[in-house]
Amino acid sequence: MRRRTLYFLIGIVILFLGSLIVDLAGTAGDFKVFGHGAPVRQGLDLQGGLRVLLTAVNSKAATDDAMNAALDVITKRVNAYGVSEPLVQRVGSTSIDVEVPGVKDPSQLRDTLGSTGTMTIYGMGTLPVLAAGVTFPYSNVTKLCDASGQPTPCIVAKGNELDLSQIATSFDSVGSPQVNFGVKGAAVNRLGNYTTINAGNKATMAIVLDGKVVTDPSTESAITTGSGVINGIGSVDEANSITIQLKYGALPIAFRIDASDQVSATLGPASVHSSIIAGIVGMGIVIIFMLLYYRLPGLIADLALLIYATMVFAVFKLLPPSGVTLTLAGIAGFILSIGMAVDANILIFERLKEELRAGKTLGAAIEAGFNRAWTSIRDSNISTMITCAVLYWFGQNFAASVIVGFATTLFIGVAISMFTAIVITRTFLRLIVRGNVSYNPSWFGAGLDNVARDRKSARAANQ
Amino acid sequence: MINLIKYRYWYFLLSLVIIVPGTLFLIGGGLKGGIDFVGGSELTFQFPHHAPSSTIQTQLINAAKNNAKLNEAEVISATPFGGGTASANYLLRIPNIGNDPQKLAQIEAALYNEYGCGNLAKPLPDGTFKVPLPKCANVVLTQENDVGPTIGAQIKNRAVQAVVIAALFILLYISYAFRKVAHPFRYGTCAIVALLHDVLVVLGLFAIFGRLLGVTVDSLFVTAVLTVVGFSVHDTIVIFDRIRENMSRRVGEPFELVVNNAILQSMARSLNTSLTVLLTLTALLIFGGASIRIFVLTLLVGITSGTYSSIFNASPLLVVWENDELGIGKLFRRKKKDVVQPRGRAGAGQTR
Repeated sequence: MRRRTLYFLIGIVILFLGSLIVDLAGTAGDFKVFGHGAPVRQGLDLQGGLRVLLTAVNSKAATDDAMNAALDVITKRVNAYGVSEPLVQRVGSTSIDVEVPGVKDPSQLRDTLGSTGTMTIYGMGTLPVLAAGVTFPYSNVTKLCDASGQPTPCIVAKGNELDLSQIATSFDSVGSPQVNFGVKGAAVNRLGNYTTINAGNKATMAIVLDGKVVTDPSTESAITTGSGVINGIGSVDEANSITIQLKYGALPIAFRIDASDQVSATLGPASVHSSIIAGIVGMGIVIIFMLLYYRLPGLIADLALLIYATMVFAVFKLLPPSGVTLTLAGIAGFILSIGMAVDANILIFERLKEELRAGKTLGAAIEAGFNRAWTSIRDSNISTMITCAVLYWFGQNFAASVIVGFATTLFIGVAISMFTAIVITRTFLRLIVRGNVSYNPSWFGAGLDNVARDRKSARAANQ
Repeated sequence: MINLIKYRYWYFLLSLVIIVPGTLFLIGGGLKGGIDFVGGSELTFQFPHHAPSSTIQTQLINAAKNNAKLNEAEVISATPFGGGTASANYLLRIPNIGNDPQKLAQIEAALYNEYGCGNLAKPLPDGTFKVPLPKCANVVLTQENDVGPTIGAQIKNRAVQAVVIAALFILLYISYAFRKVAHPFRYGTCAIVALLHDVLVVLGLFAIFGRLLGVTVDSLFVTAVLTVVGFSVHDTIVIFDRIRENMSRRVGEPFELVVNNAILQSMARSLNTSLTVLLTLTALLIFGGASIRIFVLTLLVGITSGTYSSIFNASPLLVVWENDELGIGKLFRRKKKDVVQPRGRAGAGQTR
């Protein structure tokens, strides 16, 4: 065989084996390839989770500095939840998109992320005790508590007097969750005064977070060091939620939730399972069809198709920055591209059949088939790629990762399908041309049986 | 050799017959914009221990309207094209509650009270709920999607822009790719007309679904439409490519014949490619997840239509244009000055 064909063949084998290794990395063994040891990153609709689009309420206040500061705080809050591969990014000039896959209880998280996070401590005196969770009725109070803890209600500590470094979740002697806190500056004295005066009596001190009462306990003892503990919290989750809202500082501007999606994790694995089955069935049908209709080249196309699927999946994993995020629509795009990948091969084979019918030798027919088919393949695939680019732009504009995922998978699929048809199929076809070995045209497709018959009778007539 | 081109007006008629019902539904306001486009919230509730029933549907609507005091509520099956489980699974569509967790709690509380979890939904002294409510085994919120009104309008605008831009780029590209043929612009335009046919078929079908099944279109639908666009053009270009090649090889043949040959020659390829794509999509439809069923169905219908329009719309249209059969070209040609005919000899059969 020609030298060039041999090089191509070696190249293909290397590519295939390389792709196979990348595909299996993380699923079979525990080894890493270029740092991508994990299996493919799954989107929200596959592994469940939360996606929130936060938009600044007051767009004039949403300066670049404010937005970046907010981005910082929100990123830290998300990371504190300890989920794998969260995504926090700015979208447009006034929005922040947060994606937290795989989180078990998205509702609590959703409200935590965008909350402003301002905590205020009010001296309540003997006003009726407020239940945890109610809206604080005295939000427009602005007077600070004086040395005698009056008037009530008054402010013992404002939001910016909180000592963030002391915020932490802890447990008391019987294991109930609580949140440590501390105040600084003038608030230390105010806290000390109020608690000293009211230690042991019925006066209460309300701790209010973003306008909602966390707890309104009576003071048991004086707090003179500026450090205290919030107890009476219902659950560890709630304690963590409060800690996270406070620890990284309050958000500089207020946000509202412009869009949110919560998907429970139960839907995911079933969908992946059914998609895999669909993919295998789909590919199986295509393989059988190609074998039946195009016979020998069909077998070649099937081999090329398997190599194609392996390569595409490898690209999914390797694409920077952390691979393609696979969603259900993305899987559909991949399966769709399998059907379309065969198209280039079909174009070539139909040309090949024509050339054979016209009486060309096998070698000449193969080359002519490729040359004629290339312009069709190029032009038609480019139009698909144009729509993928437009889809990508469309989805990227408002961070719809589902659409972006689909556009990316389809684009990669189409691009690689062009490569496999032109390089792999052609190399395999050239491999079977060895000099003047006689062949039976009916191996090259249904419908060429009469060509075979004609040649046979022509040969017989010539003898 | 079959002359397919001869029957081109029948194909146009068939296309009209397919398009007209859907278009009527479209004009009649059938295409329902989902929350992606009009804003709102969609809550998917599963009732694992109960079969689907209209009682549950009524309970959902009452919870939204009476308890959460929302002025609009609609309930449809969460899996309108099948593929779900045997227990009740409903989609509740209401105005946007993304910024107000209390509303969700109110809806859930009403449902919890009906299904034995009332003790989990006791309000606080001021009437509000401590959110989020604990989980109840009989009433499970599996999915919640909220879209605010401003972003909904943005998405809708972008969607329309995307389709227009895609069509424009494709028109430009085809005109460029066919620049060496006479009248390259016609090829681009005919491809676009075929494409419009496919988009109308899909939109019309979903206008009918919207009116009859309450199915809405969302950004995933737009994705499917754009994919259909890409594929339809893909298909059309292959045939046009053949026409271009034949024209250089069969100089002097009438255009009609050239196109007819091109169609017949590419028929096997067109049908086979569409077949492989449709086979994979059918596998997806049958075996794939329920949540993308509408998406896959859109693709199936669109790609079938795309194959049909490439063969029976785009190419015949090219012939009609080239032959100027509708006489439109005459409107654009400059009127020849009236030529005074010299008085010639009388008699039939005189040629100039």
